[in-house]
Amino acid sequence: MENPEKSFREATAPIAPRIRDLLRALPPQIQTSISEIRLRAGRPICLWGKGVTWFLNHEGVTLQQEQGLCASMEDLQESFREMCSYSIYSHQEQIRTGFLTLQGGHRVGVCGTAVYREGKQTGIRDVSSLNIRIARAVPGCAGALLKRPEILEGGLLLAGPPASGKTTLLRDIAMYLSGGQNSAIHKVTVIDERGEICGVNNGIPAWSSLNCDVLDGFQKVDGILLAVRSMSPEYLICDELGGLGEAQALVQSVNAGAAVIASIHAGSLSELLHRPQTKALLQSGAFQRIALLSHGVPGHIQQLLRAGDLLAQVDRGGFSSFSGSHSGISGVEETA
Amino acid sequence: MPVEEICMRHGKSLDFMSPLFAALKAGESFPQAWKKAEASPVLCEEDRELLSQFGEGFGASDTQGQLNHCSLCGSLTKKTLLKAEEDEKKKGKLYRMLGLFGGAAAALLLC
Repeated sequence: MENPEKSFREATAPIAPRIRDLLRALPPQIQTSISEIRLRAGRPICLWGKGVTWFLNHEGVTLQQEQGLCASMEDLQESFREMCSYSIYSHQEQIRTGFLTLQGGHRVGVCGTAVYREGKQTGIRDVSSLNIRIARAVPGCAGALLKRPEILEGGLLLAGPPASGKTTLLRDIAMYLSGGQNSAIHKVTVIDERGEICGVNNGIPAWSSLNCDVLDGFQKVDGILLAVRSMSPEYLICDELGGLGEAQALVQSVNAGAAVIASIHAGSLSELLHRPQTKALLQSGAFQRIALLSHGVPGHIQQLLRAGDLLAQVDRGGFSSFSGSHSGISGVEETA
Repeated sequence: MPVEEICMRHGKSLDFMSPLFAALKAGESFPQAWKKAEASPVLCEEDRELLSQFGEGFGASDTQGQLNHCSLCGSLTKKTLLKAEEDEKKKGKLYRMLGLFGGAAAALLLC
């Protein structure tokens, strides 16, 4: 099992020392509960975890915002420069899209003032807030899905709101399929566009039980095509499907016989069905099933749906709540 | 390419950069290591000031910002170099004569 305290140390390593030291002095049970650390210029430092918001101060943590220690502009600048390895220019593309990925796969959201050149956003200056999301492996969180291999073999789309555990589930699935735990070892290629699934640093994934081929930093369209052409994957795993071009690339993976396991942002079933790319993804044939996740316990599967039924609903131009259930995997009812 | 790699690639042969590489190897952060280079005894006050100015902005902005920063520091360094070359022309002969006189005095004392 990966060390959760190690994840916390990694994620806090580039934070300005006066804040980092306070975070590292927190009791281990609090450290392992924290999912996000938010630094905002001139505002109390927020720690979010398990549905609770704490504020950091010299005594530890408090629920009272007015008792929290404020991050200064200098703290943010120092932290930001350290997160970029003092080479902001070499992280330009990531910064432009509003995030950085730290060693260990931890993602940092970046807010500030937009820089535009010739009408196009080219960067961010005067960074005013940083949100560090701590990446952790939760071995076994995909247990309910893994009990029924046909769910993965037919292709699975994980849909959920932010912080519902989509990336954590993908990571656990990748570990299970490639690691051969209790089953055959499969050829798994991960297209890790943002470096969050595998946390590759200098070519080595952050989690030792990930025995996959990783296309780190590749845009999904390029990565899918490259994987299909040269890696003969049995499973393709990628995070945050968004563009219509990706659905086209997925058709290629289906033609090559690879099963796709991917995630997409959707706060609810309604939101998923109203997203323009949903129909294209369902039509690609890459997914037989869609798992809806919810806030609260990361990786908790609320509903397991068949893609064909959803596509029919999309074609009819609406949806109704699904009624009736079939025997499904324990803890999840498959609805049609 | 990160700033550390740039320094390794293009600054390895510069004697005043040795303290920087030693500090990086010892695990110090890049800004701390840069300060060690600034404190190198082979540099005069003017050079130290130039290095400090460069170091403050090195890596601190996007590509265009970095190009502008390098261009500015390059111009300032050229100015300082021209001044040093003029000084060497004006005073070089004088220093060489002083060297001769000092050597002659030492030789006379030893005889």
